[in-house]
Amino acid sequence: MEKSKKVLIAEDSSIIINLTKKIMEFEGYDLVIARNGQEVLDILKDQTFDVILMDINMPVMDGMQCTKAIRAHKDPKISKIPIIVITGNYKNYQPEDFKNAGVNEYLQKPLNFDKMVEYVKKYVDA
Amino acid sequence: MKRISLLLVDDDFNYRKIVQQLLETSGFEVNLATNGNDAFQHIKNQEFDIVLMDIQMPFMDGLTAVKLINELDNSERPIMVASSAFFSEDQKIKLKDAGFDELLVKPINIKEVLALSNRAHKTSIKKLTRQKMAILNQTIVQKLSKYGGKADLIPIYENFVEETSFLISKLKKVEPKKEAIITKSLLHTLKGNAGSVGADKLSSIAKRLEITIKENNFEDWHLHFQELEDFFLEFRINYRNLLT
Repeated sequence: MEKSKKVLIAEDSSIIINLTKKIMEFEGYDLVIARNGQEVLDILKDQTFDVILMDINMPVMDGMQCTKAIRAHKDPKISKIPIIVITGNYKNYQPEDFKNAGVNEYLQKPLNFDKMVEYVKKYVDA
Repeated sequence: MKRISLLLVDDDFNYRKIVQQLLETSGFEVNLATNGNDAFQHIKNQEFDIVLMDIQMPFMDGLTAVKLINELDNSERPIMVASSAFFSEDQKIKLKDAGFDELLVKPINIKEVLALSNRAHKTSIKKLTRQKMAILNQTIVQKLSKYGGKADLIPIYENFVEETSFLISKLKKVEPKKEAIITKSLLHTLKGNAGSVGADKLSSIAKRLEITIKENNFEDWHLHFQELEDFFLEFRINYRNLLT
């Protein structure tokens, strides 16, 4: 059997995590959870992913900082992972800001999970 | 100053007489109706600031009447106040759901009616918009249940209730004015969670509280916060039924 595709979610809300977990597992993906940007960077030390779902507003290290750190990573297997951000637009970021930071897609809160699945598929199956 | 127009709806002749006198002495312009249907006819033909309505009445009760009144295309909708000698917790939710803005326990205290009239139109219009929002948005529930069925959603909603309780308890401990950043962040999380699971009313009130902070206008904070707690209670009571 083909190995499941791996999705990483960085999110501090357990509600969004639980829902995403249920949906990704239903779709047949493996979901790994990080609670903030720093945890993402730690996990990326020994694992790689097909796509990352990244919340913007998180404690310790927010999604923007984390995205920039990933894009600046020396290992291309990591720096090129597609990133889909999740934003409640807490800091009033514009689409341009996301693009400049190297974000592939962005999802707005309240989350449309169908859209999330669509974006994940787009990058995972690419 | 313009006199506040009030429609007093009650089937008890003596009660109407006494309260009318009290209200007129306090400067209200009082009109009378004897049941829900009578009140509805009045409201169709004339604008009122406040409708003070008994719940149990012959011909048409308060609950039916308020639903009809809310369906009227009337942007200057009056503040709808239900009055009764006693409200059970269940009844409180039902009445608010049906469209009453406030509940007053009989005997009526004129001071309370005066306090209501002070925030007449502004609040009532806001509330009318909110009234149309769902406790639980069924379109979202349908969408989510595509991924493994409705029954599987229950633990997720249980977790949402738990997390929201936690956020509200934290919000109760912060001082919105002094600790604006943390307050805003808690509300932001609550709003995003609620919106994502389709708890529309909760999400909208969290948004309103967030705006209160952004605009640095804390005047209505307690009022809205009370609503947040009311909506959450309403959600907790109803979500299981709405998921089956």
